[in-house]
Amino acid sequence: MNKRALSILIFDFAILITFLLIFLSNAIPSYEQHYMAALLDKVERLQSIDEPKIVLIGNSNWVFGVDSGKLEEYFGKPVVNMGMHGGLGNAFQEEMAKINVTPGDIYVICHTSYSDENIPLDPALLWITIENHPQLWKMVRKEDVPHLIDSFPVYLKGCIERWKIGETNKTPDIEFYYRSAFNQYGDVDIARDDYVPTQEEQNSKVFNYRPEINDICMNRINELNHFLESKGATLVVAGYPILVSDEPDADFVKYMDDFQTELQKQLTCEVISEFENYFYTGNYFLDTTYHLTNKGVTLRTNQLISDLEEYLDN
Amino acid sequence: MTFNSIDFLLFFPIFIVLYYLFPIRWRSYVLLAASYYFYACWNLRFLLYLIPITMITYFLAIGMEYVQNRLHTETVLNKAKKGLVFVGILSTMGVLAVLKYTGFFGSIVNLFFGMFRISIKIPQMDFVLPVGISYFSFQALGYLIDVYRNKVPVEKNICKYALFISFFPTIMSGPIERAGNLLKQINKFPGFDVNHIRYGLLSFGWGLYLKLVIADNLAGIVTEYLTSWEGQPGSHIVFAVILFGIQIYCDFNGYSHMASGVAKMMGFTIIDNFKAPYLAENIKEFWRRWHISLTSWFTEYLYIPLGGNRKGKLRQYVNILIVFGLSGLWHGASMNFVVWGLLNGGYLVIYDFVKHKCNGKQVKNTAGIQVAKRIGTFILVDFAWLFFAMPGFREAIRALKHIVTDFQGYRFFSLTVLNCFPEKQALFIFIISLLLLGIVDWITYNQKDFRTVIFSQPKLIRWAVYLFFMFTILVWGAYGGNHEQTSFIYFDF
Repeated sequence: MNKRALSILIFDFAILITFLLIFLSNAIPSYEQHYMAALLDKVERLQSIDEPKIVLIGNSNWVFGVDSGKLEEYFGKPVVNMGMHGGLGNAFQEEMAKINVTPGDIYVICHTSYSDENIPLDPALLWITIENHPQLWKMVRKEDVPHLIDSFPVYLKGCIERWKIGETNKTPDIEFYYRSAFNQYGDVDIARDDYVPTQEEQNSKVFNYRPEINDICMNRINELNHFLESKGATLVVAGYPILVSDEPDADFVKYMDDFQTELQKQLTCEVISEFENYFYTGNYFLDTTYHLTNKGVTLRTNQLISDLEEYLDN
Repeated sequence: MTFNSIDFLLFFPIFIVLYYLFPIRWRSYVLLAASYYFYACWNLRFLLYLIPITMITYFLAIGMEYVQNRLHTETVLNKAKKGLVFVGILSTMGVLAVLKYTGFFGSIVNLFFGMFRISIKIPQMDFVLPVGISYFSFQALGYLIDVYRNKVPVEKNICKYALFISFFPTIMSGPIERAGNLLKQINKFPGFDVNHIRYGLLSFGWGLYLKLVIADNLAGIVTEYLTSWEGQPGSHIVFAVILFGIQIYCDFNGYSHMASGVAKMMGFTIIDNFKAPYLAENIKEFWRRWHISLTSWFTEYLYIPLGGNRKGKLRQYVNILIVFGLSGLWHGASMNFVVWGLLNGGYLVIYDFVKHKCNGKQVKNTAGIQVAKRIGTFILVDFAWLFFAMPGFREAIRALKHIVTDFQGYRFFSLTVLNCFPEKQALFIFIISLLLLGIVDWITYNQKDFRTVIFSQPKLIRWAVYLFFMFTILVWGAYGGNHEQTSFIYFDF
């Protein structure tokens, strides 16, 4: 073997990799002001609170659907809204409940579907969220790694495209969806009652959507409940904002009633809400099926306070 | 797993380190295991086709040697050997025919009966076609015929033979290797040579460039224009077909370079599948430079046994048309592929006929005439691509009619056809890439190896080339985002 040639090859390769890393360090991270980067602040807040707290776990129905400050004030406990984009998947969202568990904590799960395949729905979005932040990497489960590997080119291309147009780590020019739109608790609390949804947004809304339940999701939540109980914390399931037509048909009402009964039957934790109490008509919704206007947030927060209070009283 | 996937970029470095850590006598087993793993990554069930084809052809070859040693009467021996080859053809091509062509022939039979209003309907069966089956079946059959012809010795080590059939750089899309080349190298396993790694890396990089920067960037435009051709002026369809010609070349040539690079890093030299085909001055030269491993396979194992050019001109022309018709069918069970093949065969027949008639009349081959010949050849080849690119024969004919009746040729001269590029940057990338491709092809056309040319340059130029490749692939490459990792066009065949 020609040792000199081999050392030249290794040296050349090292130089190329160095160039590559220098280049990539300019392009990555790319989404530090993005909506998904709010998770950094949420995790930081969650880790900083070592007293009993209320932690909201779920998708963006929490982000655009609760007044955490009001909850905190009412119950006298710090509240952390860990709600994030639904594309991360239920499983990843539930991992957030394991970050900093203190005895006396109350974890409120609020998924909009209880049927999943235990995978990130959009692994590229998971990349955008975790980027090169080690504190968030801890939340990635082993089984998610193959999905992350497969979607890396999608993320990388996105970063390079943003670098090309000078958008790296800039605040996106989109209403409501950026890191600084979040308040200290993790809610987006920008005034939005006057927002007029576009036709496309309007068309994307699904009325009377019938959620489903599967064993994968139930088993995982039950395991989480077991874990939290072992740490002295409590897990409960609450209702999510349900977009209904002005007069929801009896079939749908019955379906949701059965759904709630089934959920309670299969879960080892408590379902604290009557889902029917979370039926809201279109005027309370912002741009998607689960995002509320400020008026909607007030209604939902009041209902949640009432549900939680009733649960705690019992 | 494809060469342009992140899985491969993780798999290969680990594999190559392991490969060289093992002593040479173990490497064939390591490589065989890696090849089966690589193939099974697509679908474990595909091994149900790969293993039997390997076993059948292996034992038939062993059988041929057995009868050769036992039978001493030449006529009986020949009959026995022919019988074994026949079984080999029947089993390898039989599997391929059932999986790939049942639906196609069924529809032809139904059409035939339908013409006579006979209500017999052969049910349409769609089988899942294992990736690469057209390639490894041909490779196995080629080996068997070579053994029959006493061109190569029988491989007795089943692992080495299985490796020859499943060699992972070539199993998906070729090149269709010959036992005389690859099996010979497997029997004399190459040792580590740092120059193989350098050479292989550069080949792989160039292949990746062709695939990600040219082919995949063009894919979106071509698909958009050719799927909505009815709403496009004829000149736009023609331009999209020209782009398709470039796309398919860069896609397949890119794959072939990556395969060649991966094989080279392990110390193997595989057949060059392309040698600057679009610089060919005539159609015959084009077919000597395009998909060389398949063309030479058909020439060696079909055209020559049919009589080649030894039985008069008429028979030669019929043979050419048979070979090209079947070559078209090899690409897919659809009439448009057959027409594409026959069209190319027709070009060859006409070329040969005209050349035969003009025998002795030499025209001075000036630079201008060379350019004109190249453009002419490209136009002919590209016309045939229309049938290849369209989803069906009828649609190709309708598109052709549309081109003739609504050509709007001024769009070519006013360059409005270039509006198909979504932005100026895409057009810029295309032009730069085309220039680069032209330079590399020109070097290849002049029988030089572009990798050797690059390695012989001063350090500064070499580094400029390496960095250019790395950054253009990263920045201009069509991967991720809305593109996702795309498969190679020739995986479908």
